[in-house]
Amino acid sequence: MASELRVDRIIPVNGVPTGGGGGIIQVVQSQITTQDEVTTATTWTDTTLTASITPKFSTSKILINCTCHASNGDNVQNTDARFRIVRDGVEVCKTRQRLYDYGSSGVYMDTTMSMLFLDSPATTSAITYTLQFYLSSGTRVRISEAGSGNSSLILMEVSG
Amino acid sequence: MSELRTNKIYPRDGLPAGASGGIIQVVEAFDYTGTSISSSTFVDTGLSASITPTSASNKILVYVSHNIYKSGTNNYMELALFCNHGGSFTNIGYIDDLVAYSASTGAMSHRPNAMFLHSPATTSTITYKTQCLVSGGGSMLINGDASGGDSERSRGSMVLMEVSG
Repeated sequence: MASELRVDRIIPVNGVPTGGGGGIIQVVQSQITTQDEVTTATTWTDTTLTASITPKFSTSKILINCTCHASNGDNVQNTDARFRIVRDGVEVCKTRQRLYDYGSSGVYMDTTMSMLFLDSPATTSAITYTLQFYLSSGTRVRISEAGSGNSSLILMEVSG
Repeated sequence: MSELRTNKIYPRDGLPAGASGGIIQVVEAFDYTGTSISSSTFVDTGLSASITPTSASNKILVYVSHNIYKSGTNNYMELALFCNHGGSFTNIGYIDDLVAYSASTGAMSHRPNAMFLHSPATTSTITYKTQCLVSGGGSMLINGDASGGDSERSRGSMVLMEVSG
């Protein structure tokens, strides 16, 4: 029979490092395989990539990995996009992805955008993390374009 | 409430050859400061994090991610991970040599990221940092544009995870 350890917290022998956490006690993943896009400029818009977790302790931290396939979709020049993760609507991480060199004549371009970071939600209520995108210039930005790549959001509760 | 205090988490039958066990502590540092880099030799990006392993046989899983932005021609940035445990920093791995080489003026940004499994063999505090250089002249921005307002900010992050070894 397999062995199984059931435990609420995993802590280093000398205690939790300042600002950090201990071991991982639960993992949640959400994945999308269908295309999502934003065409409205300068408005933060929810993608369909979202995941929820209920921390066991308010001292726990959430280690978040978001990896998505992003593209400019229609060969336009100067697609300038932003991506951020919000926790129940509040920004917790942000990055920029400029998808095209506007000095030339327009080519299709795609890339992988990845983030890994630690959040401190300080709650034992269910919380929802969502990937948002934002179009600063260009016609559209897409994630998980058909046939090109999946996007995933992984939440890991780290003992605090 | 149950609490496990440990410096090792192993599979019941032990570690397979070349493998490591469970994660017992996690540390993160991040940086939103948009910094312009023009040096052609390695300089600090400003992103660093420290961890104190609980066992000398444990390993450190290091994840690094930066945002890089360029608008010049024929230049690119090299990023590398450095580690200090013993008095001086040494290069333990190259992360990326983007963004980017382009013959025409063009603004591009990119988010290189990498993961390393490092075996520092110590229980002393270890500091990891990233350094970068710009090759081909000009300058590039790392972790956003400090003068560009909130929407220009990009998070550079380093996550250190102590893995049972």
